Amino acid sequence: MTLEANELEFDYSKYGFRQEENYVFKSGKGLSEAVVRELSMMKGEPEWMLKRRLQALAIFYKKPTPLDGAWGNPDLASLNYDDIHYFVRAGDKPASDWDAVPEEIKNTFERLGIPEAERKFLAGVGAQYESEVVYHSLREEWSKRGVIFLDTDSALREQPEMFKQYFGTIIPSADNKYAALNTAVWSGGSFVYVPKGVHVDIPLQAYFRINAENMGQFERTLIIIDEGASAHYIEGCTAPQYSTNSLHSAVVEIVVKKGGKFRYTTIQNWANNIFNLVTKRAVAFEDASMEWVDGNIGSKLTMKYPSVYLMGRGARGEVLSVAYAGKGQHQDAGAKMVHNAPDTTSVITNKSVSKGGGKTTYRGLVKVHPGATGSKINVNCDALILDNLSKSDTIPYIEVEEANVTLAHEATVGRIGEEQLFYLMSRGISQAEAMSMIVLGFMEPFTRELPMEYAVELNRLIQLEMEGSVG
Amino acid sequence: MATKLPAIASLSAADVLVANEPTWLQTWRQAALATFKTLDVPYWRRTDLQAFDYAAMQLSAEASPFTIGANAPTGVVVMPLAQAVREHPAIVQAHLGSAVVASVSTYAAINAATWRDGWFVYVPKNVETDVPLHLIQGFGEGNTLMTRNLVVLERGAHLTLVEQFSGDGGPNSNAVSELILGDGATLKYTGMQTWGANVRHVGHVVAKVGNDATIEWVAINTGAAHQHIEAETNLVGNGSRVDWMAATVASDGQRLLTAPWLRHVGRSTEAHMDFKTVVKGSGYATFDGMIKIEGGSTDTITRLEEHALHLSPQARSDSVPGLKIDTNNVQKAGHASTSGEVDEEQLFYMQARGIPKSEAVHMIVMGFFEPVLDRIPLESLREQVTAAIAARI
Repeated sequence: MTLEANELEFDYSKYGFRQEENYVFKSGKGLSEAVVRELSMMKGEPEWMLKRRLQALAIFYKKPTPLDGAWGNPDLASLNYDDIHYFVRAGDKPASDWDAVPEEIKNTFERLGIPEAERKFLAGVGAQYESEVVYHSLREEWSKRGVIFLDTDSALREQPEMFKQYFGTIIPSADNKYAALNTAVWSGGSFVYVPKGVHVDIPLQAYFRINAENMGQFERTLIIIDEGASAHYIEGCTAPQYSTNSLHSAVVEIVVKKGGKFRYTTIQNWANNIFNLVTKRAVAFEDASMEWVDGNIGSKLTMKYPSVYLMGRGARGEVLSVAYAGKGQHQDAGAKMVHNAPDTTSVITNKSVSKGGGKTTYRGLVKVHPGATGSKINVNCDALILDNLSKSDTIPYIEVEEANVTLAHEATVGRIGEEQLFYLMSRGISQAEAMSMIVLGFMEPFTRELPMEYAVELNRLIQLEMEGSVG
Repeated sequence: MATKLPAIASLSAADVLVANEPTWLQTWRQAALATFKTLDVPYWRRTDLQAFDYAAMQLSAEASPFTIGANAPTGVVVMPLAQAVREHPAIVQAHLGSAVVASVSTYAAINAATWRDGWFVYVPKNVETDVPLHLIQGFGEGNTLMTRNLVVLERGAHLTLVEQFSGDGGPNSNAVSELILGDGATLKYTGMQTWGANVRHVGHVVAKVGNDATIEWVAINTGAAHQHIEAETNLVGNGSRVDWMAATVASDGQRLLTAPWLRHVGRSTEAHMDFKTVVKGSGYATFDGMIKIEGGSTDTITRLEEHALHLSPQARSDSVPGLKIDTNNVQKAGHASTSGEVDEEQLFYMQARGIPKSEAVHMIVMGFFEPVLDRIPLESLREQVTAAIAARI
């Protein structure tokens, strides 16, 4: 029995529709100081933010595209920075009333099920279309308790002090080329503040949509979980398929203070021609807990390594991620855990599936600094390669500068066992169905962590991707 | 007094010629020098390349003395490589530079251009011997050693070989070892870096393993101030296999790096790697490894275990156990890595039985290394290494 990959075209009927481009403003292609100045002016930003943007732009120009080296990727060579629109404004300002959202955009999000989801199970919703957030709402019960959930542009105006205190402190512009690019041209994203002791027990959600061709989306998210507070934030991303590439380069900064708990869940389903180059980092203080739940199904190339800096005694970090790479895709994802305090714990679980010529890379860092005694680290990476065209790399970096540490790393790579397949098929299940079941089972530790609606959606997406996977 | 060559940075094509060498070798050296001049310094980001700055160095024009620790086993040809160039030209020409290609790094290139010292070991077809061959390399008068060993096992040959670097002096050692295994050959190879405390050692060791051939590789790294070893097992042959073990001890001031590459190229190849490291004081050890399963290989089995024990809070260990897999036709592929202290429970158990803590730590560490040290073929050498490691912890 041999397993062969078919040429597989993903069914984008649900996400693949395009809306007319009917924009209030669209910058020309390419990046320049003038583009940054104009963007900042249109947003009516304070002087310090413009300065920050211009400094970051200089850093972006200076840093080479990371094609090689420890965190480089040669696939980045095909990304053309001059062919991208850096700022597209679709509406005048974010509406908090769904009816006030422009018709075409409303259509988009209704087809994606956004307001419906909000009614059902969410505490708050943000929806970003191209560069800016077009709709934003938070249930009254939470705003009454001091929870702030805003689009990031509004937060800069309405929460200037807290904004300035944290912005760029977790991920400075010079962190990497794409963090610099984001800082220069950021627009949209979410700002969340949960006050001391408040538990937001149903999720907050943001939905990101790219519609225009050659669009660059650079949302910027800043989340502060105060002492003893807790929350769960979910983001989803989609875009229609175009023949040329688009770029999504987000920066997400998170602070979880003493005893706080936060979970950040991403289901990334960008179209297969989007470069998804994202920097996500959290700092967790004493007894705080930070969890990244990260699913990467779409995009042409994703490079994303959600990080937790464990800064206080007893802090805990977790990254649970899955990646699925089909034809023409490279999912280069992983995690970073930096132990800076005693008795800190981190867990990384990564599952990846490659198929039809796709490539998955797990890249991760575990760093234990001197003084982080009693740290416990567990890393598990499992890769499944479904056919002979596909590839998988595992590149874990482990740096231990402390003796009193328990660190275990385990990785496996393999194919679907013929015995497993035979067993299922002997019970009358078709080969395609059997493979799909095995892949879903392989990813189950991830899907069971998602809210039900998302788990069902993810399983459906994977089943779609798996269709026609048997020759 | 030995004559000296010009500084490495200003060597000319004429400087690398050695009197009475055949034309092919002269051309080969000059090509390597040209390669050296075009290459950038290697991207070895966990190694302090300042410790290996060769630009101003002047090499001795003569060979250093080197010795055989025991008699050569019967049927095996053992002689200085320079002598083999004259006496076994066809074999040398066929294999020299075939495993460690000059272009892999500036260090391999300059070694190819300027080597004077090193061994030639040749085991003819179907010659089998259990008598271990022990080759010892030390420094001569010069401060830099450019040594090159070429080991060729023909079809069905068996050999047990210990290659050891030992002694003070130098302090610069640049060593290349090429291990060529013909079909069905078996090599039990122990590579020992037991240099004195001031030495800076760069090594390139590559084994090319033929059809159904087997290498059992034991690496012992305890000496030197700085070590950077690029090691590779290339399982080119169908049914080829490697059993690869290492013991590394890095204590105060030592920076010891090993970068083992394992390439699965042939069909049904199998590899087991078990690398053990102890760091102590301000010692810093790095395991920067990669297992590559090439697209054409099928039914591969590969497994890496890599463990680091920290005996003091200042010590550091890095590990990068990489996997690059370009096929799904893999039977098993995986790695496991751990770092940590001596197990508290084990310590407690032993102390409860009246063993003092320091002795208990000692016993646990020696037990940790035992599976590796047991593979050292010569009993006297095994005892010597065991005692040397024991004295360090």
